[in-house]
Amino acid sequence: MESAGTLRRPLATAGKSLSLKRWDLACRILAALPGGYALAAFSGICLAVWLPGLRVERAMTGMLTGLLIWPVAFMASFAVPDGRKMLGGTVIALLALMGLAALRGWRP
Amino acid sequence: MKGTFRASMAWLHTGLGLVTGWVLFAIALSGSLSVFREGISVWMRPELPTVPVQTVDATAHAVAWLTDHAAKSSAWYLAVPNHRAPYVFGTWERPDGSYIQKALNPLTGSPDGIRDTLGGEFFYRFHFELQLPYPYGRLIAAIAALALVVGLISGLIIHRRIFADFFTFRPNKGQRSWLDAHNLLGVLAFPFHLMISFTGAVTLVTMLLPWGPQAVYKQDVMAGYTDLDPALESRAASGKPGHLTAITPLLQNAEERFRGAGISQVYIYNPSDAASLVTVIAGNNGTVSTLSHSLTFDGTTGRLIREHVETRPAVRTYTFLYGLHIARFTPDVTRWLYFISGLMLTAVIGSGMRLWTVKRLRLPHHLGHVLTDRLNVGVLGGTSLAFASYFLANRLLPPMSPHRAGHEVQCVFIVWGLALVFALIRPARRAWPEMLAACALACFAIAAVSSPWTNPVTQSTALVSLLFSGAFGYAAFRALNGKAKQT
Repeated sequence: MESAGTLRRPLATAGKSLSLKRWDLACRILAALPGGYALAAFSGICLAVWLPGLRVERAMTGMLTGLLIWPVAFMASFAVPDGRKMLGGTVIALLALMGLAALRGWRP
Repeated sequence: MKGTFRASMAWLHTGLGLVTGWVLFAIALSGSLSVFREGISVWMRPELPTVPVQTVDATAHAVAWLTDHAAKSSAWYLAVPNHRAPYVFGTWERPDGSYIQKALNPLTGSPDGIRDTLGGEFFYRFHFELQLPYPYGRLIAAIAALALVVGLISGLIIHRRIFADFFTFRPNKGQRSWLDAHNLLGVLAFPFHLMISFTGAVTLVTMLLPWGPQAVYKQDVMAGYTDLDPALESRAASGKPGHLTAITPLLQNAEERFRGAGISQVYIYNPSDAASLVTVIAGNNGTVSTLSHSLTFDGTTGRLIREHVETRPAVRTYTFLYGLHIARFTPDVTRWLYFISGLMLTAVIGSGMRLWTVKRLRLPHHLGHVLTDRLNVGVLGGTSLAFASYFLANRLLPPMSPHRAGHEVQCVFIVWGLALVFALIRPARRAWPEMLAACALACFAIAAVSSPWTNPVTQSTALVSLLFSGAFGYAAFRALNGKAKQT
């Protein structure tokens, strides 16, 4: 008897490289690695300087949220259809977060 | 659209897996072993007395010995005994500024007569420091942990048939069997894998994303530490000599205040100074979180200076996630589940790396594929062999030779290096059965040198090693016979 398992195409997609264009891939990698990290870092800073409450609580909330943001941003960078838009979006979000942090007195 | 999404996740899963797979394999294997780090430490110190240990008395003996032998040290850090680790594990600074770590006899407080070894601490440190200088090892481990989170989630997305994967294993089908094994092991303990990889990143978050704390504390780094646990008071030495007060009443006081959580650690700062401090950290009986309750006493007068019970929600979340990862709270059954799930994660990573090469070596051979195939033997087989040789070095090196702890660790890296060289110069289809057979022999030898098998630690070590030996032996046999058919 054929089970659903044996009917499955073996290795449906895993491992087959997508025909990503070079610039598209470069944009995605930039958005995922430095971009994702910077998003996590600046979200952390924004939460730390804008949230009410104890300093340690704000800093901790920022760090833990940043830890959630990086993997999500990382995966999104490879999931969205257009790498260039993703990089653009990341840069805009980053500038907004930097602005927000600077408004509250954060300086590099 | 959906097809593209899945295809890009598959691409990501494969690419990220290839880049981080080997380091994650070593991290996952050493992490699984660290679950039993106390047990391994006891196995590696057969000289320890086998009497029931009183936490307070043993700690007092250790403090007395350190007062006689290391009074000038700037700090003593003591991990106090419990029913799993019946000795005091002391870390202290030597006059030259280097740190020394020793197990102290619970009856005498002295390290004499106990062989010098890092025991299970080696695996524990390696798990997040990779034997690399600070902070590089920790940063690599933190990034690898996040890569594993992404790898797990993208892996989940590509496998649309989670439920069926529970029941799908088609043996003797080469590549398809490897994929089935990869999927089966991956979905079986998926929630654990996701939890352990994310909480692993949490334990290192202060290194990976220090920007939030930096924004609120600016240059005042100490204030950040003090805020994290306000009972961890620190103060400079006064320069006037002083004497430590009797430690026993302080520890009894702490035990009462901790209400059954027990004591996990005792730190003593500037022990021979008038401004000495004694910090006592609560244990994990009945609480998942680390640092749930801590106290600091004045070391000279014994007066309680600070007490902190953790109730702040964000810090509590952090210490909870931290505690979930390091699993000090767990009873024995849960420890075994952590261990088995950890080994499954190791196997998921290993089978993923193997799958990558099995799939590609069907095509005309490419240098990169052949190299990866050979390095797989060196890393997957070599790590296992190197870790096994750590146990054997513990028994084979002369028990009382100087610098023994360092030599044990050197053995691990010598074996690892030799395994890598061997794997690189030998065709993988020959090297696989040989490496696996070496692992089987090494594990069998661990079971043999566990003799006499008189206590639960040596018995369970022998049993687990025999199981490993059998598994490696079976794999070696399969690799030897199946090579014509499989690859």
